[in-house]
Amino acid sequence: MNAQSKRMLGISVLTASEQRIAWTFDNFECICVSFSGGKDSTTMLHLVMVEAIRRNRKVGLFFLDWEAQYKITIDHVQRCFDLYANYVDPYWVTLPFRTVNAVSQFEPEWICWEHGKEALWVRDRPPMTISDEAFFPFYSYPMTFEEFVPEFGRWYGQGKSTAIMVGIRAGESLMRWRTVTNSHKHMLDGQLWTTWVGDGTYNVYPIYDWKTADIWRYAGKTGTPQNPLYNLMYKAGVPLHNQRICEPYGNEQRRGLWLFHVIEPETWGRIVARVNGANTGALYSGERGNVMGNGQITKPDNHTWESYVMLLLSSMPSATAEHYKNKIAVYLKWYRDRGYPDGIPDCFDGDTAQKALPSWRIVCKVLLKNDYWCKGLCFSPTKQKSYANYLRIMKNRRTKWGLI
Amino acid sequence: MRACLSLEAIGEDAIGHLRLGRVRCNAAIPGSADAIIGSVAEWQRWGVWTVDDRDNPIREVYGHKDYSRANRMGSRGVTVSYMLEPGRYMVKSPVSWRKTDMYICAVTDDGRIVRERSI
Repeated sequence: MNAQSKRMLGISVLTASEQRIAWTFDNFECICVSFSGGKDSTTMLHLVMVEAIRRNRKVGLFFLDWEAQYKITIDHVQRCFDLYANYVDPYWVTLPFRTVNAVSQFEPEWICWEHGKEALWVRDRPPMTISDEAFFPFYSYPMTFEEFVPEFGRWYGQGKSTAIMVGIRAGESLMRWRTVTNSHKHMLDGQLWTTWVGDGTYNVYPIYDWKTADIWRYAGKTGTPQNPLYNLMYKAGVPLHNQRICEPYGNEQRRGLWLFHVIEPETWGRIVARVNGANTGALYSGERGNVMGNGQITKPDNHTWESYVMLLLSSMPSATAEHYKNKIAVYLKWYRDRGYPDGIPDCFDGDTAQKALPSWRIVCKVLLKNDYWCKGLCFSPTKQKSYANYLRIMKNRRTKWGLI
Repeated sequence: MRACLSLEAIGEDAIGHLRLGRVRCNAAIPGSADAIIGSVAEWQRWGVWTVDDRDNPIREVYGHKDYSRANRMGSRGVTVSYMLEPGRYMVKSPVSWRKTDMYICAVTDDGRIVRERSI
């Protein structure tokens, strides 16, 4: 496949996916399906199970339960686990995980199934799920999903060749398209729809070339169970391409918070009580402008973007402000050493607050968006176990740099 | 079915320096590093090669290096993973700074690695 362009193979996406799955079964000893209960991973699960049943092989079925999820989704997940009970090793994980809460500056991260907050949990742990923290030897409280997944792949494979089936589609976002078409990554036999993740473990994307319509065409023609939540989303007026199921409080996901009180009012009450800012998120996440930093942002007339950033930082809780100052300091230092010795500009002509050129306006947008890990400034999340050390190092560096 | 073989590349940092030094020396005076240092392959203490009927190495198999569990220098904890198709291979695997395990193995059709003999 040419990474730069689409090339039609003369076969349907269904046939192509079946061939990819058959190839995966031919080449890997251990296979695990990463399942979220969404439409894509459900379709992929059905496709993989057809091949597994035909070959009489067991596969792992991994589901990370985020606690704050629709009851309809959980019922659907349970139905899928039951449907293939004879052919899967179930891994329904209900362990505490730390993740972003983009609807609050007072609680920028939250922990699902958090210790000591049992009374606030959105729902109880389903029986027969993995809730024992000693079950996975690599688990530490409260690690992030991003830290957990590669370790799970290694643990599951136990040194054997292992394929983790992931139901992402290139058409969903530019990042996912890059994940598949990046020709510089390590892959197996030059297959771009595989990505090496460590030891003998590969991520495999068998439905990467499907469109949303293909997913529903498959469900309609085969009659395989799909998550009924999508029907309700459709009735609630959510366009077909915007229907997503994932953790509720993330930077992108918060736009779907309002759906909870439309679709499952009984769950919504607990979603609001669970973390700070959920109701605000539901009310304003769809708004454009300064409220959530979506689209064009503006500043008060008597401020520069830089002074507006300082104003926003001074209005934050001190821990959150310190976190952002650390990130901004690194950002400023980076550009001071690379062509901006007198500091980054306030803004520039045609500034759309994108990442390509540095400006205080971009920094401002990151703060308004509650982009806690500053992905808008090209940062990636700091590892949880290293965070205390990171704070100590950054304190020294900021004193030395004298930037912010 | 493929088999996964992982080796620890002990001294990976030194090999990296050696490779870089070799390139620089050869760039300055063509052929000088080849004459003094020799081939990097002679120094390399790990690797997997396909073998012919007489167990002579034919072609080195490409392995993925994983630095996620390495120490700061990269001298220990670097693992190299190979996805091996059914067939016979020569394996060179360091077990300590001084000892290297060399053996011939076969990968079976069901993805098992069977050690045949030590070298």
